[in-house]
Amino acid sequence: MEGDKRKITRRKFLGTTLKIGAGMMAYPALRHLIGRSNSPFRAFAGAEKKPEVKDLRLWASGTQTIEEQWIKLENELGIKILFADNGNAVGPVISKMVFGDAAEIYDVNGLQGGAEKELADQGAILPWDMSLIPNWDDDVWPMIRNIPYHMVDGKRYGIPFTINADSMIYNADKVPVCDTYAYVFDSALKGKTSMEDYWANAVIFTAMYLKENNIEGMGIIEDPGNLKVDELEGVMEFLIKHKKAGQFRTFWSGWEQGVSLITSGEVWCMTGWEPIVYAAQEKGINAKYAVPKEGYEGWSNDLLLHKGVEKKGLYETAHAFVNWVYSGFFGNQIMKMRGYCSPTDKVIKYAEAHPDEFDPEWIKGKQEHVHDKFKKKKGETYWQNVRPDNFKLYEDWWEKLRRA
Amino acid sequence: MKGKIGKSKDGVLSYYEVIPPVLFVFIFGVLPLVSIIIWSFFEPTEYWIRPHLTIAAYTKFFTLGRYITFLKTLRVSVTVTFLALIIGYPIAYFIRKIVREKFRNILLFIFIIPFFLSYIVRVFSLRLILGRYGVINNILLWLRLISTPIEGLLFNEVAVHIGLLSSYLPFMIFPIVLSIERVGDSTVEASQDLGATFFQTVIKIIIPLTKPGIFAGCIFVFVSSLGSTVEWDLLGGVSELSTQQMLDSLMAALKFPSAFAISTLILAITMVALLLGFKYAKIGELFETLE
Repeated sequence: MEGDKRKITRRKFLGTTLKIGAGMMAYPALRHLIGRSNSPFRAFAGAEKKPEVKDLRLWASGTQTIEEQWIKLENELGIKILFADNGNAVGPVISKMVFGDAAEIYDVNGLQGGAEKELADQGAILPWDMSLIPNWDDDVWPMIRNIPYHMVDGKRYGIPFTINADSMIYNADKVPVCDTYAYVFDSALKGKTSMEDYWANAVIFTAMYLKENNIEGMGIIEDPGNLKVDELEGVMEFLIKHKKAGQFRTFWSGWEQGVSLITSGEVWCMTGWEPIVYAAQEKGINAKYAVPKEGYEGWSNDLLLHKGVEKKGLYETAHAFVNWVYSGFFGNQIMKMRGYCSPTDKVIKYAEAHPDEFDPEWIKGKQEHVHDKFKKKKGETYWQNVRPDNFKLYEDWWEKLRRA
Repeated sequence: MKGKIGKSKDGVLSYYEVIPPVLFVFIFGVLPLVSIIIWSFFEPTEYWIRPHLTIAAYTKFFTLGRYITFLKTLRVSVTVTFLALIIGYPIAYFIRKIVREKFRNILLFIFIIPFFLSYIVRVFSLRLILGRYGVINNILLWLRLISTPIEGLLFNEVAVHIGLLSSYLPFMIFPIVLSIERVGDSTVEASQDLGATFFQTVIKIIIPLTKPGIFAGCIFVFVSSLGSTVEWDLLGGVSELSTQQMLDSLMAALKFPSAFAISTLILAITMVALLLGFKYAKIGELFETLE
């Protein structure tokens, strides 16, 4: 009987030939069906292959990472983020990019805004091709499209990673109303006010106050974030005068110091970051965040495209990453993890579409709160610039102030 | 291969024994310091330096008033060192000569405990003691010795002194304890038997014999104070800027030659202090106690 089974009959031969022929004819059609991304056959056919994973080295401020959640980007687009903290120390970062090889080693930077022109002039960063970032659309908040230092020679070099607007923290039990930066310099609060120990913050707040109130003829200031030599001199002399008079209890630096000054009662009113208010409130202090008539100091941590991406074939990948940052998930995650704001309406849209991942009401409240600071502000928003044209002079003046 | 370098049990060390540590010290100790000195005379470029000799960094040290911060740090470091000596010496004497042996280690351990805590937390805690509503002010208010809190306890030079003293006092105590080991009880007894008062014995016998420990303690406290940042940062007010903080901001602003010039001056002062120590205080004798 075994021999009968092995014997090729005419019927068997015709049947096999027909099956092979039908298979060959059907293959192109099946391939077409399976190849379509929305094909129901795709998963069934085992064609759901992960895209090839590409490493993208992100060198950014330590607060800008969403840590293990980057895996979502890897799963969706095949981009694996290799994150390294740049310390947010602008001078050393620029030095390493221009003088060192950081512009080649890393692919995308996340740096406090203002260094774009210098890095672009030195050829360390490339302009972004906005046509490759379709999520940079009408959902992106209008006010962050025109931050002065993002554009160099008409090309966009900086794209906000996260943003916010800062003003003053005050103890409402001690200072019932605080709607102007005048309180920081008010002699009635002598020895009970403070500013951050960093010129990029302290100088712009003082310049805004002097400009908006035209104090000591400083209404002439054009851009409080980028002072000219004589404007800077006027602002710094004003600060030195108040410092010598004992106006400031101390200059603060770092989160813990900021919180401690308000909660310990050492300082009643100081310029600083909004999260300090929430930390102080948790400790039972009636802390509030001011809405000053002179406006807010806006800041943006910017995404910069390193020159090395072209050589490494990561130009499109870097753009795809930024496009993903603006797709909504990142904004939700960074708000949840760090309280930072990604300036696009896609953040709320994503939360509403994925209530299982994020609390839409909470996210909406947080996003709109930041958005409202820009929309419903009393005064202008002036953008913090960590690398103004006369930044070396800023450094010298700050040193002089600290010694005075 | 045997040479005449150093000593060993047979009186001679081989080059193989000497060369590796000497090379290590040269590469990781001497070379960086020499580089800093040379680079301080280089010209700054936008992002680094170039080998074009100039004394501009030293000129700026004076013209931009950086010497004021430098001298202030120097003055505070000297004062703290002096205060640490005044406070630390009696403590060291008490630990070594008066306290019974079984309590001696406990006392020494008490001075070591703070080093198990985070350095920043340790300094930060002083704010809770010295602050406007801190422990001291609260006690004084409770005792009705004051009606409003004293503002001058924190965020000024006094607070920096207190912070530095609390941080570095053990650095003064330990070498002095070690040097007091060398003063035999019989020496003290002989002095007193010959009619010397306690203070005469301290001044004429004990202090001269513990000079190496005193000097080592002074060097430790002085150098540590000179390089401190946290105490100035957390306890100092708006005018308290230390040389180290100035160096940090110069480095952040990429003003490298200026930072190197100031580092060179610190190095020079430290070297002079060490040389004086070896020559006049016989600091090397301190280590003989350990042998």
